[in-house]
Amino acid sequence: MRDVVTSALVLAACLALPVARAADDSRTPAVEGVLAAVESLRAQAVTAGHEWLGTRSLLDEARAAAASGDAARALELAEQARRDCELALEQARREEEAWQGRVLR
Amino acid sequence: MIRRGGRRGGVVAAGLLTGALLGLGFPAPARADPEADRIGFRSYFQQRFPDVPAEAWIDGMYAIDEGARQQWQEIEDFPPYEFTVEEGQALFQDPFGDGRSYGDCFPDAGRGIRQRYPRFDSETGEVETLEVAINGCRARHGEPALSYDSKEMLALTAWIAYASRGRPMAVEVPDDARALAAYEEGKRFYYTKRGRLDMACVDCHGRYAGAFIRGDHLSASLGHPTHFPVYRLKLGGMVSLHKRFHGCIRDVGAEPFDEQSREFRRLEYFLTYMSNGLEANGPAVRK
Repeated sequence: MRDVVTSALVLAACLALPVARAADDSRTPAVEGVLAAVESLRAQAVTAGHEWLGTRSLLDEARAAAASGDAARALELAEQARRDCELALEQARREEEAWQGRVLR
Repeated sequence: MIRRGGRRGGVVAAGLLTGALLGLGFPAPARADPEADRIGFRSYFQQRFPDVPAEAWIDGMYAIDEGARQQWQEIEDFPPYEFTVEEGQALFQDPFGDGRSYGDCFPDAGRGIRQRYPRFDSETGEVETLEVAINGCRARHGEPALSYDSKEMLALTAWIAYASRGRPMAVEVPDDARALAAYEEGKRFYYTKRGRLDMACVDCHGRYAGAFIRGDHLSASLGHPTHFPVYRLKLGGMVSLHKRFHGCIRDVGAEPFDEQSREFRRLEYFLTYMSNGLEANGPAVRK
């Protein structure tokens, strides 16, 4: 009986291991680094006055996913936010000159 | 000799360079010219809508939508902003804690001042809107600032707008590099595309003014600032010009700036200058 209980505990621990490992992964420097890099891009878009609506919430959701141990979801959301920021910055660069062509006269 | 010759050569080179810059096609740095902009702005709408006199644009899309205009005029018979104006007049006259009132900051009991705002404050080097001036007055008399979308702020601006009806908008951009830069930044904001929809203010309210957006016509930017704050029927309450800016920026999928942010104050500066000469007619009712 004692052996059965021990085996059951070992099995339960093994089953729980992947979840625990994923949770650890979500806090690894890789995920944190991606989130920090995207936040830096967002700050650049803010400075340029071209932050897109929804980018902040994407990043917030990514952080929440990372905190809950869902590294894959965190990276997926961070990628969407990164694309938003890059497009917003590209828009800002283009508009440096392009706005002058729209002046009403 | 070599030295003198060299010096002369330097002078000659500098002269040639200056000549080249002045006369050989190097463009001089662009200098803001608000009055030329205003004439061009008005001319654009005049060409697009030859049957609409410029002064009619103070009524927004009602200048071009006769059916909607008739409905609006009936609403104006019993305007829903009436109580707000009365409340604003009472607030304007209420003494502050130090016994003074807004009348000590604004001339003529607030009558006939709307048309001069926003103004450039040469002390701060910034654009001062009417809302900022109201809070400045409160600060000087030891009163806490009002929130820009508070009922009190909207009532005060509604009263001042009402008491200034009929005065031609007369915003000044003084010959001060900081004022011209602020004006130019507002102009640039107006023409810059932003957000997920990649749209600028001018897209809706310039190029597509008069076109349908769902069941309504898009209004023209000309005349926009003359009639705020407005009572918006869809919201059932008063709305400031900056609240409207905020909504537009959100609508194009960009993160909006705060009310009375530097960006919005400068946008208001540019837009109001474009409406110079048109009558102040706030507050108004809008859908």
